[in-house]
Amino acid sequence: MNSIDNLINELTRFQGIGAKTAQRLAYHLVRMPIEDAKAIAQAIIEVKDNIKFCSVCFNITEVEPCKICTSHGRDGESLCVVEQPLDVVAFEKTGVYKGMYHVLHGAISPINGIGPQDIKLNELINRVEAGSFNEIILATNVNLDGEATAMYVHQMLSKSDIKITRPARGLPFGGDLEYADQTTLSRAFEGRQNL
Amino acid sequence: MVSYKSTIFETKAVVIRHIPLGEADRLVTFFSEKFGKVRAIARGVRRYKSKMAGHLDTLNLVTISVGKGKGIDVIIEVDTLNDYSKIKGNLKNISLATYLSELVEGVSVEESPNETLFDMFVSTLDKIPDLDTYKGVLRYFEIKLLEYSGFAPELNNCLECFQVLLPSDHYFSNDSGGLICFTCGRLFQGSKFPIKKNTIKLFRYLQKNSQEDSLALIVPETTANELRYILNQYIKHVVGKDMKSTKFLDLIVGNTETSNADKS
Repeated sequence: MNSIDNLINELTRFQGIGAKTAQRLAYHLVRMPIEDAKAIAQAIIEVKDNIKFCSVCFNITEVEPCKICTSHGRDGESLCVVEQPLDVVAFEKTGVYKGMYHVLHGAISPINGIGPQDIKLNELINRVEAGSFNEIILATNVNLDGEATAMYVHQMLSKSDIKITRPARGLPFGGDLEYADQTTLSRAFEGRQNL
Repeated sequence: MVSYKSTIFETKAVVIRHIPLGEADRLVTFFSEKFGKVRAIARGVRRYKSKMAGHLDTLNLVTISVGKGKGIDVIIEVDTLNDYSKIKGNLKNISLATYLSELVEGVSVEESPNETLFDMFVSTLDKIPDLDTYKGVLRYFEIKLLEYSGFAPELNNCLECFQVLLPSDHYFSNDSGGLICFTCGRLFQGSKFPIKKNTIKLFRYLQKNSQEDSLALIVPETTANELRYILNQYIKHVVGKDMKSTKFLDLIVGNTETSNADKS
């Protein structure tokens, strides 16, 4: 196998990169100045060397604990529970939420055999029991697995006095009502607000 | 009946599972009324404004229009008939419905319709929110699932000597597909499980009677647990793998659930 075939083969490891895309990327790299190609290779190595999981919130970080967990400017009484590190990125982009996070690295998925012990759920319960949060926001995905995860966490924390909330669900901005499914419409209707 | 070889085909179906594919797609597995197991790609469905996303949540009963693709089929249109929100709002119901989904997925085959199984699956999903106890429903479903997919175990004659089985403890053999009498069982070299007389009676009763009859049964816990064990082993043998959803089912519902009579 020559070096281009090897590169194409390695690129197909990425989720969503099929043989054709890998081929296009490989030939793009071939035409690229060598300094740029080396910079890409170096960036990949640095990520693998430097990135770890925060021992408090399990988000990806280069410093341990992460900047969010050690920040004095954040609301230490609010905890937002998400499935993946990319969800933290999405929430941070809004600039609206200033509390802490907990990343589960997945959701309960009964049909795939993923239970509470397979994600960072016990760590969440321990963290909540040891901490001083007054609100837990269960921001898992809006699908069966995300809802099951949220319900399970709620069940585990139901004996505490902590307020447990879930972000509003409903119609996406820019969407048309006529195409909305019955679940989305029902939820949107239930969550209607005064103008 | 629409031929599966048509360019576009339509059917009612239940969404069993989906996995992410590419940047924004999902590969969705359905159990359908007219075509058995169907796997098709839902393009762009992971984007937030996708019109199909909400319709393709797991357990939804939908109508789908699917276009035959070169390698894999593509979902053209989907519309929800029942989102089973009453199931999805309760962990017990989710664990039970997911177990039934995994069972159905395990025995179903692509391009092989099983309308009887589909009807039973949907009617059982309809009943789940109103159930007080689960054991009878689960065992009945498992027994009928085996029957409707061609794996009904032999419960009346010994599969070794072919004699009518006397009322007694015997053995169950996965490989043989049913009961082996106590005498043959002692010499039988293959894998076998002892099964008590009362468990056999319960097994036969559920095989012959209706789901409503099964709900009215009062069964000792040891008998119910033995039947559960025998059925789980046989289903694992038929499907070729463990049912992953039993782990969550046991966690939420418990594997020592009793009938109402047993609780008193």
